[in-house]
Amino acid sequence: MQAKLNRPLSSVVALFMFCAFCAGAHAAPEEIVAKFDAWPPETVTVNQFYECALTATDANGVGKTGLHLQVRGRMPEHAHGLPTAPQISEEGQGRYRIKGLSFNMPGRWVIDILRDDVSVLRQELTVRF
Amino acid sequence: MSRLVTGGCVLLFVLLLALLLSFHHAHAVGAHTGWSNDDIEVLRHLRLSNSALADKNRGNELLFRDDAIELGRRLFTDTGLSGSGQFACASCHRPEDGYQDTELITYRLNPKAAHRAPGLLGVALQDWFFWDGRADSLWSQALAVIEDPMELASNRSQAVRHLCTQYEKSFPALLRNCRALPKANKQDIDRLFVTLGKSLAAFETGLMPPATRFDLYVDALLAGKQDEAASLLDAKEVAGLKLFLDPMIGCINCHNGPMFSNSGFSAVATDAQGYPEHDRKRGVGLLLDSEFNCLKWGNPADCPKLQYVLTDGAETAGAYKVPSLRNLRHAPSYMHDGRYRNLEAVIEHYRNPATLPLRHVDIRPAALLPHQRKQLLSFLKVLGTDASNQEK
Repeated sequence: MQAKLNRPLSSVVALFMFCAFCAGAHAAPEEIVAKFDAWPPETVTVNQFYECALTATDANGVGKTGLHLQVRGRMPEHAHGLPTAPQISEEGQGRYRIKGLSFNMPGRWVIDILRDDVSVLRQELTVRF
Repeated sequence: MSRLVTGGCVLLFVLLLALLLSFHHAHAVGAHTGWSNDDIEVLRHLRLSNSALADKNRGNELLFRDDAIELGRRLFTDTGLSGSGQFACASCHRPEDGYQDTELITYRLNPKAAHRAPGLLGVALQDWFFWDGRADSLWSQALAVIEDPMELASNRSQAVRHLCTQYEKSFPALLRNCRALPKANKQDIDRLFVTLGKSLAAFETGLMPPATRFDLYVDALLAGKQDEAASLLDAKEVAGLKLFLDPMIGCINCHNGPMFSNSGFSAVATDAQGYPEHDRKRGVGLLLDSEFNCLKWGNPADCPKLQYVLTDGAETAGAYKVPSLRNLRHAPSYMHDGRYRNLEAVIEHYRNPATLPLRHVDIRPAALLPHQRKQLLSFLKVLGTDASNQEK
């Protein structure tokens, strides 16, 4: 009777240990260094389309290719994000181009470049009329 | 007793002082105290201008052709474009009322209509058309109305037959494709249908709002003529303008640009009891499916708006196009579903927007005191009034 009761318990413990092993085995993503190339410009105005480029490298300065990056923009003082859906394309050697950025409201915006939903680059900018 | 009298005197003095201070404050807010350079730039940005017309209508090669404008002018009042033969564009977009429907004919035509026909002054400066932005050009908007069973309820074959029968002789250069009509295939019909839409858009592009006292005020400020500016807007209207420009009040955040619209979509807590199915979320789906959208019927280089259009997310649900504030004159109702009958109620809405739990909204309550609401209202009325009209 005792053995029967212990069996599910040992299964749970084994499952828990397996999960812990898996979590440990899942290496943290390699750190990358990302920076915009000469962006933003001195003046960013409402309702214009902007494009920019960024470079992503590893800790040794080697360009990282094949990254799955996304753009997220928001206005911290307001409850909304970008009015457009910008697209990122890869240009090789760790260079990525972002097209379709636009801002429909003056004020402070925060742009995040996300890799697997984690921000790897943040840029604040003030949009004017 | 004397203590009572002294107390009364002190109370009276405090009341008088408070009254004096509030009067002084109200006067100071409305006074022509001058504007900062940043303010002047914002005012310049709001001044009426048609300089963006060509850029915003790049897909319409007929935009400035005289024959297309004339054809569009005639088509606008042509009841032959409707399935019943009884209605034209002008039936609801009434020229005498700023090309909007003040008589609510839209609803008589179709009791289930979700929206009243809006004013068309400055319409060609818009990026999107219909409240949900399901058209990305003025010409494709017109075509959608002709084929919508809830609106003109016709179809392209019938409309093109009518176009060729009635107008080919007068506009041979524009309508030379009519010669192919007896044996026309779908592509021929579509091309002529697009010519019809582009001609209507060419006419509508000429419908610009009149310069208002606000525009003349900005001109005077830009020319450094302070005295002239002071004669154009009174202290209450200037106070209203300052409130309008205050980002904390919020009007300027969306109602900006020469048409007082940022051409975007905003969720302003109006879907709580309205028609959420007509919001931007639905509109963008219809836009992508439209056979006349910019990418399907134009040069892709002219279509960045559509190429990078936001198709989902909280910004699209319950969001409607930000309307121009230059079409307020004679408007019988406001907001996308016409829920308010006067601007006081609209201001009250923004002061205290009724939101649903867990529902995304783009606005925050605008803190406006009673006298500030009156000031804001007086400025909004300026925007709807031709400068040559003496009424205030």
